[in-house]
Amino acid sequence: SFNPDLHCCLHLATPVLSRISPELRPLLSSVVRNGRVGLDSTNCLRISDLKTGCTSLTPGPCCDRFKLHIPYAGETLKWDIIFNARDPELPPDFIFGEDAEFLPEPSELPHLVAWDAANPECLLQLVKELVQQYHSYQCQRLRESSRLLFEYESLLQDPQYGLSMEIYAGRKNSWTGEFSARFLLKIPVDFSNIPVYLLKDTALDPGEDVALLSVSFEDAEATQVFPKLYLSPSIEHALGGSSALHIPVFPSGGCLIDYVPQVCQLLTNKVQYVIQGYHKRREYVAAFLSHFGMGVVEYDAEGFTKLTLLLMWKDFCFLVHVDLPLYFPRDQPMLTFQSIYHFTSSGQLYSQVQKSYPYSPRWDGNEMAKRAKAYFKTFIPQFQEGAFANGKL
Amino acid sequence: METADPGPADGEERVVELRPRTRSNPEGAEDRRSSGSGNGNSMNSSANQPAVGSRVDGEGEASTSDAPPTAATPSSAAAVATVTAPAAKERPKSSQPTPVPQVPTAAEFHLRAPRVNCPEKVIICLDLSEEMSLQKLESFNGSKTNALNISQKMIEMFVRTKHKIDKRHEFALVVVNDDALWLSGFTSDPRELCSCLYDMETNICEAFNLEDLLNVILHKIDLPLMENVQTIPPPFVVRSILIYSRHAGHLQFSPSEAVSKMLQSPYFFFDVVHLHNGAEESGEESSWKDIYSTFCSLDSKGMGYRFEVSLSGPALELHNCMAKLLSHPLQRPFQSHASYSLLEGDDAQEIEATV
Repeated sequence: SFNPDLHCCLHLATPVLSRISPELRPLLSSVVRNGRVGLDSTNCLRISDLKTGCTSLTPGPCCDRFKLHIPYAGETLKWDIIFNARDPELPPDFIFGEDAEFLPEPSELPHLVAWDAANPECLLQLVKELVQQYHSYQCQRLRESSRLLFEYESLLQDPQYGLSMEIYAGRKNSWTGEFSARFLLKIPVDFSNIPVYLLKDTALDPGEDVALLSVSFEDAEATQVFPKLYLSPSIEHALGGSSALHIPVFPSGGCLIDYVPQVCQLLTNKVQYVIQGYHKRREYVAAFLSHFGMGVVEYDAEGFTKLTLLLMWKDFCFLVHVDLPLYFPRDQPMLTFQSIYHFTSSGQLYSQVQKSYPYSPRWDGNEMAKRAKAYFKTFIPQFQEGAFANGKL
Repeated sequence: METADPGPADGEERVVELRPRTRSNPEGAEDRRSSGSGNGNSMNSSANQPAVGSRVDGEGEASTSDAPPTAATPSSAAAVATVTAPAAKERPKSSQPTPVPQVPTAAEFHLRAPRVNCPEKVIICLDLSEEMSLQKLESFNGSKTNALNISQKMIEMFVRTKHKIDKRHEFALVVVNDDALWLSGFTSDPRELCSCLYDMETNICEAFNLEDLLNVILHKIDLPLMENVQTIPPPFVVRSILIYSRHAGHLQFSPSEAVSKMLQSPYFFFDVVHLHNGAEESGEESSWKDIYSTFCSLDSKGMGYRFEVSLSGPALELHNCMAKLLSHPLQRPFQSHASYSLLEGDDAQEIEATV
């Protein structure tokens, strides 16, 4: 699953790297610092279990073998990479975890064929090529289930999804002996028009904004299917938080080639709502400033999520705080009227909230401002009366 | 810290710099100079656009920026006091009140920060001279009350309201007797400030030492220094609100260079509520109007708010001044343009706004 803490990875890497034999360090540095191998760009590659093949008399640092953790299709592959510190020019050997049957063809690995220890990127590129081979190997294994093979092949046909898939036709379920597989797909949604202010709050390195759909098939007949949506943290935040991850249940008897576009559409719609919401809020604020602008107190000049006005009626001043929701105009802005002069009996500011006043999402900003003004005129007298009756001066 | 842009000399046209699309500066939010359409961005800034929102062209909160090219050059700043030739879709500006008298000359250009609601650091300065205790203000129920009493309530209203609007705002409290004393702050918790607000006493004071007050403020703040005043929002602004009431003496004031610099900063604001006895005094004593005009002269940028309120008038007036002071200094209109009335002449005063 996603590891949101990219910084943690880089932080841990540094002491690890210092134990590696100096000649090998640049190769590993590329892997750990820049290495994003698969679809899941929020997870970095990790190194652990450093060992050395040298004798104990060799002065350190001289570690030349380690485990590389590679996020792939929602799993983490743990591959042993074995160099020889005494002969750092040579390419490493690999042990592919428990995947004893994964036997990549060396001639199909360009960066192995032309291994260049002087190129710091060489190991990273080789790992990428191996992961591609691993993917092909996994796809082959899908042949064990004609149903899942069909899922795979039908997705492959669609250029939108076929090119960005990771398949893990994993170990059989140890209890039931059932064959299971996981598909990890990149959902092609355009996030580029999401207002920038929504994305800036996350303290994380933004990296690539990405949406990934993971679908786990717990049985070969696809009767137990569990989809899950992953969004890069800033996108999730921009779309309203964890509720943005809600997707429909996988329909029984359904298939990916129908389901995945549905999810894509859902996400695209959410993005549209959010973008539209921003522009609509901005239009609203502009219209309100136009109608009430000379009495503006403050407004959110970045996301247009709030606005406060000072109004006067018969020499009495009032404030109106307007809160604009993320999915405006579908969701109605909340109005809070506040008296300048009164407090409540518990010493708070005297105010009154209105959530359901005359409103239509179909009105444009100008119309909303006009209607709001009309509403204020009808509401203010009773608000004022209430303040003087119930508030403390 | 410079307030003048070390670019073209005065008298030459300035080119508006396109706003960088930084993450904190989304398109359209601050650029008042782009076209009046809702999705304004800086793409239509032409060389003819004025670089600076000059005080005199009637630019208010809701004005469009389609200032005609003829009004653009700084040298004609003084001549555009009654600009009424906007683009066709604008309402005529001739109905606007004439601007405040202190029109800067072409040489006194003050760059204006973008209209962003950055956090404010508000320093509330309360004059504790005995005039604050005179029971002459008329409260809501007709009984008499004093200015200190009302000030305390309105300050509490002010800090609580600002905090409700934006929790990042910070507050400080200074009281002035013969000298200025920094009582509390900066704090973003209104309760902390309010706890110092009550239990105050007034006394007979000597002439108000404005220099001392400004020095106290100067030493407690650190104004932001931004590379580009017009396009990059500051991390915060500093605002002093002085509630002043004493009659005694002339308000002598010769600011040091450091204090002048502070006053000229585009991120420093000085607002005044001047409580007076309304009397036109003759003879040696200067009238309240002289003091008031000294305050006016402090405001070289023309962006401060000033209110004069009679000590024997309705307390309502005083409350209302504080309410008007709630406005964010970067987003509020020029004081002369401010208008709050809900009922009067609505449609005629609608002006297109850009955000």
